[in-house]
Amino acid sequence: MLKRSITDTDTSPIRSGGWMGRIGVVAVVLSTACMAACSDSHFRVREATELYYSGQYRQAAAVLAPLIKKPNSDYVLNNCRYGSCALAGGNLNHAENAFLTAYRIMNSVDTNTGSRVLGAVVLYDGFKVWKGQPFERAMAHYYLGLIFLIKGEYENARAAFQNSLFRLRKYSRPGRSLPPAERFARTDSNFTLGYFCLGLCNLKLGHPNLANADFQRAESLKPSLAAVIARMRQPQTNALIFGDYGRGPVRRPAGMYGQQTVFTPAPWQVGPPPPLVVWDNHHRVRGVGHSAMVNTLALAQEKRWLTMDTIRQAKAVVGTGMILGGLAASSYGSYHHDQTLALAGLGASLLGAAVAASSQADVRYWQMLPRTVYVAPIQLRSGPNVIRVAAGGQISPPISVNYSPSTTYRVFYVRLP
Amino acid sequence: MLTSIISRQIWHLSRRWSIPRAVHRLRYGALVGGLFMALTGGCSSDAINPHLRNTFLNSNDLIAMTDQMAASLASSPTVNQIAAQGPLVVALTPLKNETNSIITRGEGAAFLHRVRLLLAGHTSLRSKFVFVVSLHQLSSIRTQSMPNPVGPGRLIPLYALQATFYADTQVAPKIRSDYYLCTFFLTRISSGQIIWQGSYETRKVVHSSFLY
Repeated sequence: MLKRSITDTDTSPIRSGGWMGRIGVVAVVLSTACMAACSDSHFRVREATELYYSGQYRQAAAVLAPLIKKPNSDYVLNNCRYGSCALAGGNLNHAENAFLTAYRIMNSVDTNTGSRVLGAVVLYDGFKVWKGQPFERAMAHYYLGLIFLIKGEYENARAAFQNSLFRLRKYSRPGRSLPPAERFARTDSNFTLGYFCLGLCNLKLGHPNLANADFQRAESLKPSLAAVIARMRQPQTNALIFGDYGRGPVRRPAGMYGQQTVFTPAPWQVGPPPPLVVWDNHHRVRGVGHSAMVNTLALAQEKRWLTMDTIRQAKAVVGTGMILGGLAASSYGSYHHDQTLALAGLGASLLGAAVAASSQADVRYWQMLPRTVYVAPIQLRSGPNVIRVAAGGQISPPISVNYSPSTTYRVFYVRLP
Repeated sequence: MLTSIISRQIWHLSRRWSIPRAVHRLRYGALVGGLFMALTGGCSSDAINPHLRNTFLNSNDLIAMTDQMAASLASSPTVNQIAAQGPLVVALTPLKNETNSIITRGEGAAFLHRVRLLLAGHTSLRSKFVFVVSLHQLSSIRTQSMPNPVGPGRLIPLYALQATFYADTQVAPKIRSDYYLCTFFLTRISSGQIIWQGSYETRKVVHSSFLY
C-alpha cells in the first residue's frame, strides 16, 4: 500500500519538474543570495570592530560605509556602529547623519513591515528591525546630542539629550499599586549622563532654573559628580572633554535553546571604572578623576524589553512539550506496531524541535559602545593648548587647541581604546 | 539531549519501516520553508516600513503651516498699513527650536524661506516685502568674496521675521504625544515691537504596536 502511494506521488509537480520545482529553485537562489549578503555584513562588522578597538577609526568607518545605506533589519544598528567610528575618527558630519538616521527610526513606530513581524514571531526574533535595548537607544541619542554640542547647536543637543532620557523611562513593576502619574514620576530615567548634558544645554540656552534641576537630578543619582558639576559651573571653565573608555557589554544567548539573552560582563566582574587623568600643556588637571558619568555594563543589566522575551519563552516551553509528547507517542506506537501513531509522534516531536529552535533570541548589539563615559571640565589657557587624556593605562593622542578668549565654549570628544 | 533522542527515534523507526513517503512530504515543507525564509529574512531585503509613523513635524506640516502664515501675514491690516508707506525690508532670522525634536538647520530654514517664497511669489505682495539676507549671512558672504558689501546701496532691514517652535511632550512606555505650537512673528528691529504674529498648532500621537 505504501508502495502504491509513492507511485501516486511520482506524477507530482516536483518529480515532473513543474511549478513546485521552479519555486524550489527560486527559493534556493534567493536564500543563497540572502546568506551571501548576510555573511558579507557579518564579516565587515567583525573587521570594523577589530579596527575600531585598535584605534583605526577612519578605516573602521570605511569598512562599514557600504552597510549604512541598506535598509535591512540591521539598518539602525549599522548606522550606530558607523556613527561611533566616524565620531571617533573626527568626521562629525558623517557621524551626525548616521545618528540622525538612527534617531528618526528609533523614535518611530510601525517600523517593521508585515512580513518582518510575522517572521520575527514565527521564525526568528532577529528578523525585526534592530532598535536596541533601552540603554543602547539612550546612548545613540547621547552621541547625537554630543555632536550637536561640539558644533555649538545647543537647541538640537538639548532635544537629543531630552530624548535620551525618554528612552530610559519605564514603568516599574513594584509600583503598580501607585496611581499612574506618581508611578511614572517615581520611575523616571536614571541616565545620569543625559541629565548632566541636558543641564549643560539649558545653562547655555539661558534657562538656569531648568539647568539647576537637571544637575540636581544628576547629582542625586550619582553623588560623586558634585565636584565635576561644581567645576563645570565655574566661570573660568571654558571647555569640556567627553571621553569614552573601554568595551561596553557583550550580548550573549542563554537558556536551553538560547531563548534568553544576557549582557556580560556584569559590573561586579570587572570592578569600578578607573580614574581619569587629563593633562593640559603637561600640567595635570585636578578634580576630574571621578568624572565617570555612566557605566554601560550596569545599564545593560536593566533589561526592560520583555514582549519578545515572553514569546520566546512560550515557544521554548511549547516546543519542549511537543518534543516530549511526540517522542512518547512515537515510542508507544512503535511498541504497539502502530505505524501511524509512531510517525505522527515523530512528526510532532520534529515540529516541536522546530518551534523550540525558533525561540532563539536576537543577540545583535552595538559593539562600539564604551564601558564608561567621562566628562572632564577644564580651563584652556589663551594660545596653544595640548591636551591628553588617559584612563586604565590607555592614553589618547594629543589634542591641539589654539584658544582665544573670544571663542565660545569648546567641547571635545576622545575615544580611549 | 532532545535532539539525540529524536535522531535515535528516527533511526529506530527507519529500521522498522520504510518512510520514504514522509521524507517525500518533507520536501514540500522544505520548499515552503525555504521560500518563507527568502521572503522574510536575510540581510539584503528591505525591512524598514515606508509607512512608519512618528511625532515629528513633517512636510505636510511645513506646507500647511507656511501657507497659513503667508496668507495671515499678507492680509494683516497693520502690515498693510506700514506697507502702504513703502515696502517692508525684512531679514529672516534662524528658527528657534524649543521642542523635544531635532530640527536641523536646513529643516529650520525651510519653514521661514517657504513663507518668504510664498510672499515673493504673488505679484500683489512682491511690492510690499523686500527680503534681505541677515547680517550673519552677510558677514559670511563678505569673508567669501566681497571685501565690503555694506555700501551706500545696502538695504538696512527694519523688520525681522522670526519663528519659535514649542512642544509639550508626553512619553509613556507605549505612547508618545507631542503637542506643537509653532509661532511666527514680524518684529520691528529698532523697538522690538511685534507687529504681526501667527501660530500653527498640531498634536501628534503614536502608539507603539506589538513589535514597536
